[in-house]
Amino acid sequence: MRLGKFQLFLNAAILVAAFFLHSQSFGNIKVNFVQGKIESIQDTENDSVAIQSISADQVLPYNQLICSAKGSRAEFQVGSIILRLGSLSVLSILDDQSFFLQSGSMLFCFLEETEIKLSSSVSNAIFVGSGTILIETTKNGGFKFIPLEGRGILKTEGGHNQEIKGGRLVLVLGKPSQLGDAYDLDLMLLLKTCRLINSYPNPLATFGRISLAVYSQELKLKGKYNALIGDAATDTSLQVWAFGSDETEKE
Amino acid sequence: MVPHISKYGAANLTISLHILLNFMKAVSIFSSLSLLAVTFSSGQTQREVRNRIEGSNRPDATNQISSANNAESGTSSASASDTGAQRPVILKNKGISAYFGYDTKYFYRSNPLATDGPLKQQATGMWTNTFYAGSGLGVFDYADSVVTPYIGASWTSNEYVESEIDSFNYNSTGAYALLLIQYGNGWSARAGVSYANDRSADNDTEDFKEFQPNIGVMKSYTINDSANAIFDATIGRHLAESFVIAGLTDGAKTASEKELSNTEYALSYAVNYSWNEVIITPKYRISYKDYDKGLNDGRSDLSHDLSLKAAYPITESFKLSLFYSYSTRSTDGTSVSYDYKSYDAGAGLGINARF
Repeated sequence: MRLGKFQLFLNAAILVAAFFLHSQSFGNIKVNFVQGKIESIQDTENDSVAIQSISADQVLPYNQLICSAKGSRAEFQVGSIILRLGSLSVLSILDDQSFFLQSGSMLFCFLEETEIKLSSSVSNAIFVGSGTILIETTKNGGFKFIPLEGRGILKTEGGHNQEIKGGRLVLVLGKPSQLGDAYDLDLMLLLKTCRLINSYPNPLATFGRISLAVYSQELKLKGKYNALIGDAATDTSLQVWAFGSDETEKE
Repeated sequence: MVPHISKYGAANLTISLHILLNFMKAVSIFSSLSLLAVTFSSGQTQREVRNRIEGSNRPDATNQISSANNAESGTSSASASDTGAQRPVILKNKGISAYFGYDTKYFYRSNPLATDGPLKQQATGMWTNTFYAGSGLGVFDYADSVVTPYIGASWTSNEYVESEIDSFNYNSTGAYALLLIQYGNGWSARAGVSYANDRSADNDTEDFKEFQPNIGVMKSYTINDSANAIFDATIGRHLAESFVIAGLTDGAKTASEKELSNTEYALSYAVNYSWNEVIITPKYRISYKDYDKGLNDGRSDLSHDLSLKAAYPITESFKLSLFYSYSTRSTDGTSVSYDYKSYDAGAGLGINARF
C-alpha cells in the first residue's frame, strides 16, 4: 500500500517535471494575428521536416522557421516584444532576444529598454534600447535598420556603434558586420505606405511616440529628394529610384 | 498713454477733452457723476474707440506658426515593400526655422464699434493687411515630448471702408515668445508672453497696449480619414494700458489707464474637414474675462464666437479663404453696458513661406 502511494507520487512528479520541460521548449511565442498563409517548419527527430500552418492564438516553440506567403502577414508576442512579420519573409526566433531574418521584412515594437540580437544571412547587429523598428533584408545579405521612433544604440561586431534616430535608415552590411550609410527618410510617407503598420487590426502601443517622431521631423524638414531608396545589391551600391526617370544606382 | 480723443473726428467734440477736463477742474462745478454724464453724452467717440479696442480681433501666433508649418504637408502615395516607401529627406541639424507671411482680408462687419444694441450698427466693409514673421528656435526631443520655442511678430493695418468711421482706422503690432511642448498622445502645452499695441492710423497715437502672459493646452485628434478636431483651453492675464478720461468715477471706482486689464479663461473647439482640397473649419470659442482695475473693477464678460472658414490652397504657400463669424458678448458688474453682437463675412488671401 505504502509502495503504491510512493509510485503515485513519483509518477505525479515526473508528469509535472515533463510539463515544465515541455513548456520550456515551446518558449513564449504567442501568435496574435495571422493574415493569409503563414507556416512553420521544424526539424523532427527522424531528420524529416514538419510543416505546420500557423493560426492566431497558437503558442510556438523557438528555433522554427516561420514563413509568410505573398500578401500574408502575422503578429507575434515574444516576451514584451511585439513582432510583426511582412509578406514573403522567412524568420527564425532563436530566443526571446535573438531574431534571424533570412529574407523579407519585420517590425519590432517594445516600450522598455531591451537588448535584441538581429541577424540576416550575412550580417548581424545588437540593438540596446526601445522603439518601433523596421528590419528589411537586402540582396547583399545585410539588412536595413529603420527606427520609426526610438532611443538606443545599434552595435555591430565590427565595433561600430551608432545612436538611432526616428526615421533614419542605417544599413547593416558585411561580415564582420559594419554600419553603412545612414539616410533620413520621409517618416510620414513611410508610415502611410508601411503595411507592417497599416495591415494589422490593432494599433501599436508606440503609436503616440511615432506621431511625435513625425511631428519632430516635419519641424526639422528642409527638403525632400525626388527619389526612393531601393535594395542594396552589394556592400558598395544602393539602388535609388528617381521619380519619373529610369532606375539609377548610387555608388 | 496720451489721450488724443478729439482727433477721432466726431462732429460734436470740438475741443479736446483734456482741455475740457482742465477747465472743469478749474471751475469745480461738476461732480464726478455729472462729469461721467457729460463724458458719455458729448464724448461718444471715446466709448467708440474703447469699444473698437475691446472688439478687436488680433492675429493669433499659434495660427501663424501652424500655417507656416503646414507648408510642406504634401506627400506622394508611392509604395514599395511591406516596409513602405523610403524617400530620403534633408533635415536641419538643430531644427531652427523661420517663416514669414502676408494675409489680406476684405470683409463686412455688422457692428465695427462693438456697440450695445442691434446686430447691425455703423456696418462697414473692412480691409486688413497683416505681415508676420517668426522663428522656431530649435526642436528638442525628449522622452515623450518635443519642445519648440518660438518668437515672432506681426503688423496689421485695419481700415474701415465707410468714410463715417474711417477716422477709427488703426494699426496693430503684435509680438510673442512661446514655448510649445507637444506630447505623443496628441496633447500639447504652451506657455508664453505676447504683446499687442494699437495705434491710431490718423493720429499716430498709441490707444492701447498690453502684455499677456498665458498658458494653454491643446488636444488634436482624428475623427475620421477626412476630419480632425482641435480642443484648446487657455488662461491668460491681460496687462493692458489704454487712454483714460482722468478723474472719472463711478461710486468708489476711479478711472485707471489699466482698467482694460483682465484675466481671461477661454475654451475653443474646432473641426478641420477636408473636402477635396478645401479645408472647412467650423469653430466655437467661449471666453470669460474677469476685470479688476479702475472703473472696470468687478466687471466680467462672457463672449461666444462661432465661425466657419473654408480655405483652398491655390499653391502650397498661397491660400484663398472665405469666412463667416458671429460674436456676442454679455457683461456684468458695470453701470455701462458693454454688451454687443456682431458678425463678419468676407474673403482673404494668405501667402506664407518657411525656410
